[in-house]
Amino acid sequence: MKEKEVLYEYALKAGLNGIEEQIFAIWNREDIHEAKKEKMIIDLAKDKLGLFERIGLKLARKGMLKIPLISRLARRALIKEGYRVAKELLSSLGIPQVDSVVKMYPHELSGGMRQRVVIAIALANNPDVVILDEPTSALDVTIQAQILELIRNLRKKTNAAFLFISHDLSVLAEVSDRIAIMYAGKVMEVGRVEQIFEEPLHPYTKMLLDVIPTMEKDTLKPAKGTIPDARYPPPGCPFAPRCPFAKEDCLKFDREIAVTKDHIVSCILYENKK
Amino acid sequence: MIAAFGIRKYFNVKQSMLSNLMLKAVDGVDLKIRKGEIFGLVGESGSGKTTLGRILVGLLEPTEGDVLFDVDEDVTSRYENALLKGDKEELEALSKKYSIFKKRGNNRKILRRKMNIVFQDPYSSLDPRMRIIDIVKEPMIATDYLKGEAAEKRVLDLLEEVGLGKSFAQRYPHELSGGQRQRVAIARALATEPEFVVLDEPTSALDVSVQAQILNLLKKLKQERELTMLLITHNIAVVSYMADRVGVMYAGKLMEVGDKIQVLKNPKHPYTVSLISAVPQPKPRSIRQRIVLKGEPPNLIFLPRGCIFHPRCPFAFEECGWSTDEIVDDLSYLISSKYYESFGESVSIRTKDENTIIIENAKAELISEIVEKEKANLKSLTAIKKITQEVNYVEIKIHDFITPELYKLDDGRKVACLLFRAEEKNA
Repeated sequence: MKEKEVLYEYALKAGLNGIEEQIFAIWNREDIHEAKKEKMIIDLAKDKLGLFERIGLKLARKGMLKIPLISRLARRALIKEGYRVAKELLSSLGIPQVDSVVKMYPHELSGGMRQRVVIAIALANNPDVVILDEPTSALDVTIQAQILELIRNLRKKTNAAFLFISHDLSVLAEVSDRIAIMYAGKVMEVGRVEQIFEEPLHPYTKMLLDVIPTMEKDTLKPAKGTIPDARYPPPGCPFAPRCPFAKEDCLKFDREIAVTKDHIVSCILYENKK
Repeated sequence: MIAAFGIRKYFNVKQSMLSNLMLKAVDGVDLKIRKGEIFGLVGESGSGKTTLGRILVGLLEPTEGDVLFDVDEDVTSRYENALLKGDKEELEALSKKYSIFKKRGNNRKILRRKMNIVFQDPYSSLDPRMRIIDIVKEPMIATDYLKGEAAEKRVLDLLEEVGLGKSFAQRYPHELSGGQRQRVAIARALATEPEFVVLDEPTSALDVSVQAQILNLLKKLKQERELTMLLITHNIAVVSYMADRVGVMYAGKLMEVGDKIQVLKNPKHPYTVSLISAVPQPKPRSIRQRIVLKGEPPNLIFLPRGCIFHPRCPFAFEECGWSTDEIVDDLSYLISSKYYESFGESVSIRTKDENTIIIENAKAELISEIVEKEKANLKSLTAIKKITQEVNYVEIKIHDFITPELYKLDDGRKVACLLFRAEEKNA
């Protein structure tokens, strides 16, 4: 196996300078055999832009796309560059055979692959915040594990902040640093992941943790009833009608209490303890 | 007790003049569910769990195989012996007496009373134009179990029992929430006092707290009525909470069957191991070995030969069923890209027959050297048995493969993996 530097030199020789990013995107992938990476990198030569295309792209980036000659020059370059960026992103997200995948329609892809494509779309413009809305709930556990692994790696590689929305607390335990628990449109508790799982404060959070089925539990203890009708929300704390510790004052309570600096809870039980 | 033997269900996917492809949803499953137990069936989507469940209650007729209902140990062992010997008369006789697909007329109605199913999606399994009372009453009327006022009274009792209250009887399904609908579906399934109930993903469309309510209800019902249940789910947490015994399905086959604690705490089959390691745990920052499987479940029309799991298996070895196509793919990649310098353009590679690969314009020594080197990375190369030099080509023979069956281990569980073939012989 060639060393990284040797490979890099080889890439230069093959005229691949200018797309180092893409080379490293392939290099950093963990899911494929090393030898396959080499072939993929060598294949990149096909995507290299010609001299005129590069000029066209440069001028287009300066906002001269309205001039007919330049737009003609740039258009092909833009398409080619678009494909290149797409391939770069997709391959860094662990999609095999990117060359054929970029030309496929969504229905030709499996669930896990589609989810990777959607993540690629979200990452395409180097965002500061990425919102992942239930990214794994439609997937099987083995595919879910692949996607969670991918998201964990992305966190290391990018500077973006991730907002991971999920109904599955176990999934959140795997990926998140901090968790906010929402109920009927209100935030019930915010804290670091250890705080939420090891010392939950709000009765709703406690109930959520109690109803995760495991082998050790004999009975689960769900709260009675279901979430309130959002058209007619109950006054005060929305969880009060189902809460085992509810008092009369709960109906007026609507405040957030910082128990410690980074652990905030919205429950009357902690009013005097701050 | 219900026993299924050699169940296969193939669906036609394409019918033209030339091709008639079969989608193998369930491919040779033997299953026994004991009286009064909850049997959990886990697997990824598309692994054939639901199809198997529907076959067990007689909603689908299998392409091959038989389901015997209400049989004891004696009958199943007689049936098994007859299967082994190929004793057709005995098989006919037993199947005529016990098979759920051979019952006709009144017998079928009586059978229908004894088994029922709760469907996956409570939003589409209840008729929107029927009142709850009619929905729950329907199975009693259809099977002549109860009629008229007696049936209505029973509906009210059932609704009370599943925690809904009598006032729900006159409502329509759209007025109910997901959890309430699922309770109605459970009440409907229990209407005719069945002995065997199939629960097809009873909670996957529900919220966690509602899920807990339903699971508790099911556990309570099981204890009160000694119901036998088949719980079909993809959620391993639910199975670990509910089931007594667990079966793991993959691409239409059972991979591992055994006691819940054995299978989920100490899985043996490589697929079960990776499946359970992939389940997220509600313990942040916990350190554990996770095996993230590569790839996706196989295409059910063209199943891999041998063990169906071998293309994704981290422990695969030479007899697992590697085909020449898989080896050619890997070899041609090695020859045309990785070791391009040593081979050049003129090398061509093709399959001759099922067990032979031919490489033209290459040297046997070089190839065997490369194969030795790459074996650890590319599992398919382990299947290469012999590399011989002929006059102007190299011939590669590959190992024969063995299709794994369910091997019984010491602790009573069954595993369909060649790694445990030897253990069965010893036991």
